[in-house]
Amino acid sequence: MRLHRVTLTDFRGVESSDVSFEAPGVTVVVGPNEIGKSSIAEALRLVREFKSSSQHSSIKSVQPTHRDVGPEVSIELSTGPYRLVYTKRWLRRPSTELRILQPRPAQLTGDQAHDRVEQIFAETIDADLWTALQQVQGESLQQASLARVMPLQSALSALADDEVVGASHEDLLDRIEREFRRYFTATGKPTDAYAATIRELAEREQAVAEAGAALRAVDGVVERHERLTLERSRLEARVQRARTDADELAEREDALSDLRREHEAATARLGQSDIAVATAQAAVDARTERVAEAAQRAELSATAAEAWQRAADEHAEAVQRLATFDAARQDVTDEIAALRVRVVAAEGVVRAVQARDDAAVVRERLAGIDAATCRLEEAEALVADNLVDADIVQQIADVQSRLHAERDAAATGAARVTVERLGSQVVEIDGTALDETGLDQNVVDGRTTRDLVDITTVEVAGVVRLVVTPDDGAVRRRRQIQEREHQLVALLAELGVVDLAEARRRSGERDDAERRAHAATVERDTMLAGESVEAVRARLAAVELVAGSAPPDVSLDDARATLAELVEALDSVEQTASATLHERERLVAGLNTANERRLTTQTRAGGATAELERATGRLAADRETRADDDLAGTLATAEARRVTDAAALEATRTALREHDADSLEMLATNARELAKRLVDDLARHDAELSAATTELEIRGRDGLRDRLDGALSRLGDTQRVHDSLASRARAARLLRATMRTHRDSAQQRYVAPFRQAVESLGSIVFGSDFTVDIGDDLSIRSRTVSGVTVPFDSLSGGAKEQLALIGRLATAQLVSADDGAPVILDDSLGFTDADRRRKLAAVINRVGSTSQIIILTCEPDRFSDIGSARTVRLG
Amino acid sequence: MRFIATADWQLGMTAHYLGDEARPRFAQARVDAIRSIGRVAAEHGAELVLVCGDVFESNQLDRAVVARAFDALRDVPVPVWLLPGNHDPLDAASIYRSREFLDGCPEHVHVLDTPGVHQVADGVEIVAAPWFSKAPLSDLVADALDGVEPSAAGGVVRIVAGHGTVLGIDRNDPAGISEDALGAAIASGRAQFAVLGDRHSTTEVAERIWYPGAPEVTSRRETDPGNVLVVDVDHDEVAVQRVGIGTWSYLHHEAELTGEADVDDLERWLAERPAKHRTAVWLSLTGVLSIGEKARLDTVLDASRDLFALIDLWERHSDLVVTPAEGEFGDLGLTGFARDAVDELTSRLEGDDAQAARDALGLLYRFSHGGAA
Repeated sequence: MRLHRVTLTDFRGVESSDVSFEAPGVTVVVGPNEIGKSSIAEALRLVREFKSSSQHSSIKSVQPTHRDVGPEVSIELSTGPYRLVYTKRWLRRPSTELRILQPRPAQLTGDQAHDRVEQIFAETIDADLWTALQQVQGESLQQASLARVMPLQSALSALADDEVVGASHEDLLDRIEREFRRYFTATGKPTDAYAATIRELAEREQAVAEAGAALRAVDGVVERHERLTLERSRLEARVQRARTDADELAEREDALSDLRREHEAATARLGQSDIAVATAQAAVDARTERVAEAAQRAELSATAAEAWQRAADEHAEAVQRLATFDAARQDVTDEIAALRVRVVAAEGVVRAVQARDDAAVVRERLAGIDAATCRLEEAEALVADNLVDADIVQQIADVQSRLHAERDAAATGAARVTVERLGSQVVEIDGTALDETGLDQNVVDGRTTRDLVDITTVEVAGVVRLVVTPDDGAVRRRRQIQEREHQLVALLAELGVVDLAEARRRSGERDDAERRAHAATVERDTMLAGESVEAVRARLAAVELVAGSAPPDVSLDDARATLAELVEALDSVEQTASATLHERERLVAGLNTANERRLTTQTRAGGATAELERATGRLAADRETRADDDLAGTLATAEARRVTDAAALEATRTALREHDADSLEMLATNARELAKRLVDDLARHDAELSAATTELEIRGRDGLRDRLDGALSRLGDTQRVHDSLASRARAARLLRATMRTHRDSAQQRYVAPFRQAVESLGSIVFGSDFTVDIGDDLSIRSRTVSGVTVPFDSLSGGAKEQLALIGRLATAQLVSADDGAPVILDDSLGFTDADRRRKLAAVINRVGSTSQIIILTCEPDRFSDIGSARTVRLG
Repeated sequence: MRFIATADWQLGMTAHYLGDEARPRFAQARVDAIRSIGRVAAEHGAELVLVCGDVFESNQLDRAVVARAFDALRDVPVPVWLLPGNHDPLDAASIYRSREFLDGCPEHVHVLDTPGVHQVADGVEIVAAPWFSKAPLSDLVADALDGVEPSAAGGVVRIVAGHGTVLGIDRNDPAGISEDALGAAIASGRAQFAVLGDRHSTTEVAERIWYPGAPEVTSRRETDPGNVLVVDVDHDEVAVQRVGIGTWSYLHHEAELTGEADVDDLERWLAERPAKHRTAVWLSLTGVLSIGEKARLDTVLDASRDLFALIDLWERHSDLVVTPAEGEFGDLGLTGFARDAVDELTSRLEGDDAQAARDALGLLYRFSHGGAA
């Protein structure tokens, strides 16, 4: 459907306005104000909804105020094959007029015209689409409701790549959902009724199990009863048998009881006679013991007395022995004293003789010492007189040899003067005539040669004097020799010798004297042996004193021999005396021992006598009470009695053994106890049995089988209901799931072109990465930009407005021109900023190339950017 | 000598597989059978009624059943001899020893409570083999016959009253009755006839050995229940006549369904059943049906359920395949994803959850069919 022209007359504030629209294309209708701009939309609504005769408040609200005129609307449009002009006036001179221009011209008026228009509209215009594409004032943030828009669905189905027929099967899905919800809640849980059935099934299964268990329990009791009954009869038989046994054994036991009593009496009697025998025996034993004790005491007493006597004798004997010994010992003592005097005398003699001999020796030694001392003094005097010792000799020798050497040296190096007398004239050299032999040895044939060591004067008297002066060196050497010669002379003079040889001789003499002195010293020292001479003299004096003035004229050896003899004799005697002293000590010890023993034995003998007296006393007292014979008689009687009693006991014992009494007793006891226990067992069995019987009586009446049957029946009922419900529920769930799965997948395929359209248009506004999620109802669920997904409801007002507009534009684009309807935007883009508005303008321009878009506004600036838009003013 | 042989009354038995409306009727039918037996006895001039075991379903029954049984037994005009069987043995919990039984027992009703010979009429003896526990360890019938001497021709007629399987049916049962020994006893003249209980279908073991079976059906496996035997017996001759007195039928019906016509046949077969309210039907259905045909089958069975005591599918013996017929869903205006869903469910008909898939398709069929608009 396309709107070509709208003419308003006396419509609200508009007196007369004629607006024609781009078809396709964008027409911006600028109204005078908020209310005025919507007049076109309002007119389109009213002309369809209200007959010309209507007095509806909506009609009245568009009547111009203060003017008595009726509002009139005339629209020209094409839809389907038709093109028509439809005119209506309300309230004043109401009229309806329809002029059909195509396909076949026709003209209608009144209700006929109204009905025909409705018919044409119903035939060619999808009401849902019409509504969807109108964006009413104040609802620009809401998306169009596209779910039931058939032309859009047809278009989408046509675009879907396979044969997705647009049928939504809403009714079918609703019925399936209703069926599903009979059994399941929205979240897929069993509904109350279904769940109750499931629960009931479980409960009834449980009930059956319980009833079955109860029945089996009774069966158990029955079995127990049977078992108990069987055991009871067995037990009864055993009780009977045990009783019979016990009775029989008891009878036999009775018969034995007399014999048993006799046996016990005999046992008692024997016991008594045993005691009597023991008593008598004890009395006899006591008496015997007393007698023996008295005898023993007497014996002991005699022995003690005897011992005492013996000790006394021994003591006396020892006293006697000591006295005798002491008498003998006095002689020896005297002899020792005499000997000791003689020994002392002999010792004096020996000492005197010894001293006399010593004095002689010492005197001889003193004489030697004195001689040596004399020689020593003599030698020392010689040495003291002779100063020439070896050193000085050496010194002289040295001087002399040095002098010779110097002379040789002076002679060798000196200038020589040779004088030869040639004529007869005396030639004197240093005042000495040359031919005088004595002059010089060197005068040879009148010729002489001299070393020139001193000023030499050669004079031929009256002829010539020649003075030859040697050089300074020769002079000095001459002087040096002269000094040396003086030195030698001085030395020799000092020593009183003539020359070196004498000096040597004198030195030899001195050496001899020194050697004699040394030898005398050695000899003297040897004889002194470290002592001083005074000490030796003192000793001599001491020895001489000891020797006395007149020493006995015996040899030392003889004196000594005499002394030794005497000492020996003394020793011998003294030894003897010592031996006897030991003997005496022994004797004294023996005496003491004997005395001690004497005293001890004396005491003992006294004690023993007292004991003997006491024992004898006791025995006598006992005997006075009972005589020995009496005791023996009593014992004999008791023993005889015991023999008799033992024989009697043996007799009863034999009798009991013959009757096998022991085992009989055991058997009887066992039989009695067994019978008792079995009776107890039986009673217990009876109690259990009666308990079982009672239980069965009670339970048997309960009709447990009926209960089980009842439970089974109820289970069967529920099972049937449940199975039927369950299979229906399963079917419903499967059907629902299958349908939904396929619907969803179909839906996704189906909405794809719409989503593509929205995204294609939206990318101009939101950018190239803009995507949307489209719901089954073709609503935009969420927007994704730059990877951020925001649900539609959470978007900003501007974004909502833009998306809602894009949704409408996409729809308009998708729906074919024939099926389409104009997009009417009343007061849009109030939430959108200028930048987005400019981009939206491009979108609107784009869609406007194929669809009809009518924009109603009082702010034309908002839409001034739409390239191809035509702006018209209302009124 | 003529008497009524019967057994396995199973009084107190509950058929829990039946609906709760049919269940009391079924229980009542069992008591009513006693009165029918009384009428048969009267009509045939029988001397006595011999019930060979399992008179009661269990010893653990509500004692009210005893009162109801006695009330019916009072309508029986001849003496009735009851033999305790494996369901109602003479154990410590025995119903025969309950106060209600002992106090209320009519004079003409007797319990064969000791093994061996009971004189029941002039010249007539019953050799009873009652059960004393649920699991005896020997052939009770052979034990009862032990020491019974042959009777002379024309003399006393002996009827063996036993309960249990005849050896050969279950050889492992120590309480099994030896057919050879029993046959030999009869051949030697120690007894003239044997009535056995435990088998609910009327069965002739030998000429003089019979299972009369239960007088009213108890299980779908029974082949010939609902009878009592009118027995004429003496030393020379024997005649056994079956008299059907059962009012209930348990039917097992097998049908192969391959199309609408087969469903119609089944419907007709069901319609032709007499006494539907006393009839339980177990169906074994095989074949292949379309969704629509299956829906029709369900309608037929649902309708029958209101009439019959029981209509049940015997799952173990059934194998009914349901698959959408060509164009079956195409006609319903299902397009797009709904069509896809149908395809998927159809493919699942082969899988593990075939039943659910089938039901889901049925559901879809119903919804689409009902609301094609």
